[in-house]
Amino acid sequence: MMEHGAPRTGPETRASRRWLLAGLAGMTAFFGAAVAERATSSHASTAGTPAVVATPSPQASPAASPMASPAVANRVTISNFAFTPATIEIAAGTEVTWTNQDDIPHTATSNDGKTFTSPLLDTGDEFHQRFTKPGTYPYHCALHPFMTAKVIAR
Amino acid sequence: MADEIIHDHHHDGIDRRGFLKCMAWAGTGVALTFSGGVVTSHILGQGVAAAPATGDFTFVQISDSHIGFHKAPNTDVTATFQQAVDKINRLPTPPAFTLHTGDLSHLQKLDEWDTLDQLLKGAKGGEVFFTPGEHDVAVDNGKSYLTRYGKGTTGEGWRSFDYKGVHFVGLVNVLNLKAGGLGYLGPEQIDWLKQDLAGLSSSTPVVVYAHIPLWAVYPKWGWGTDDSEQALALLRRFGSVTVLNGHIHQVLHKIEGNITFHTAYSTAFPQPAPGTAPAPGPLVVPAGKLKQMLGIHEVSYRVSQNALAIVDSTLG
Repeated sequence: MMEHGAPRTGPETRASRRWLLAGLAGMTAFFGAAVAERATSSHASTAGTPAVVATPSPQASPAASPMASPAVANRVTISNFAFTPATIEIAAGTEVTWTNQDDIPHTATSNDGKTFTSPLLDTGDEFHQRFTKPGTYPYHCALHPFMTAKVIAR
Repeated sequence: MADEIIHDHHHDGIDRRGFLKCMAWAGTGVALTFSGGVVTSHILGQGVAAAPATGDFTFVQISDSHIGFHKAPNTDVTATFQQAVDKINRLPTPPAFTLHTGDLSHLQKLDEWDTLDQLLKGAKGGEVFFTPGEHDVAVDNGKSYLTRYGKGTTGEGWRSFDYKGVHFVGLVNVLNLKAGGLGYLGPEQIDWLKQDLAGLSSSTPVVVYAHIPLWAVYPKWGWGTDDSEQALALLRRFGSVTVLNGHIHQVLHKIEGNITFHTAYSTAFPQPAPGTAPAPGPLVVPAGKLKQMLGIHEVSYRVSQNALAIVDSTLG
């Protein structure tokens, strides 16, 4: 937990950031829907402003920098037919980037089929999607729908 | 697979499950013959090369050409597809028609389909009936695929036709896929299938083809179809049902009552056996071995025996 001040790019950092979220925001981190709706109304005009995550915690002030590091906070890797991390938590307004590292094409397609869908991502291709409104966005791969994951924007 | 004789309709003591087990381990070059629901087999080259009788015919299944794929273990899928075409053209009995069971293209690009169509023009395999794979439809849920390859089909690409007493049904299980799910047929297609089969005598041999396996090969890798059981329930009354699938880039067989399931080789790249790798990506094999893991499926129907003989034939 103490390592949060040092932005690193590994999955470890992302994992520990999730712990921080869980610790700070408690249920908020995992029972997103209702909470996210409240966030929508209270932060409706804050797209692009600092994250809900960073503000509620006294510990978070030095830890705001990891949120600002795109390598840490908003990247999803597609590898071995899985999205990693399977749940990514971002501040509303953040652009999430998916990178396909498999030799088979994949997509990131929202489960409602409307909110967002990437083109077919060949090996090494990236897809960027900005989430302006807080909410929980479940998505899957349109070719391999057993691959599921979600974005939580706060 | 069990070893016991389950369905010995001809009471001739042929242990078809035993044969299938041998088949699975022997790999290529073994023919399966379905005679009134009982399987016999012979090694290629030792078979009965009887002169074709009136009504006999052969057709070919090709699958997973993935035109556009260009990585290990196959940087030239066009060349291996051409070799498959050459193999079709060398068959002793010219095929009446060809089934392509999907993933024509790798990235659903028009030029990939153009290349495939061009290569198929050189094949003496009769008319080609296509059913899509997920690589052909994911971008637009099949719109451009159906515009190009859907002529003569019903609904979202479903097709049936009769050829010399055998009923063929082409199903589509790669559209309208659900998050967290597997292959999907959907209630409309299943209703259509019900009507399509309704007028047929149960003694009619039925061949069903679709991209994703219609049985649960390995759901963890998406190798199955969520609602296939509803389709299979409609097929169980028939004495001989042969299901031909692609998608998994390897040859597997299964028997369930009177229904026999077969998956075909890809012409592009092999995939790992279920559960033997972290994920079902391309299986990287030494260059010298690649052609032993790619191939075509040759199916012969012999009217005198009311039999379908299936030969998995590799490119090398």
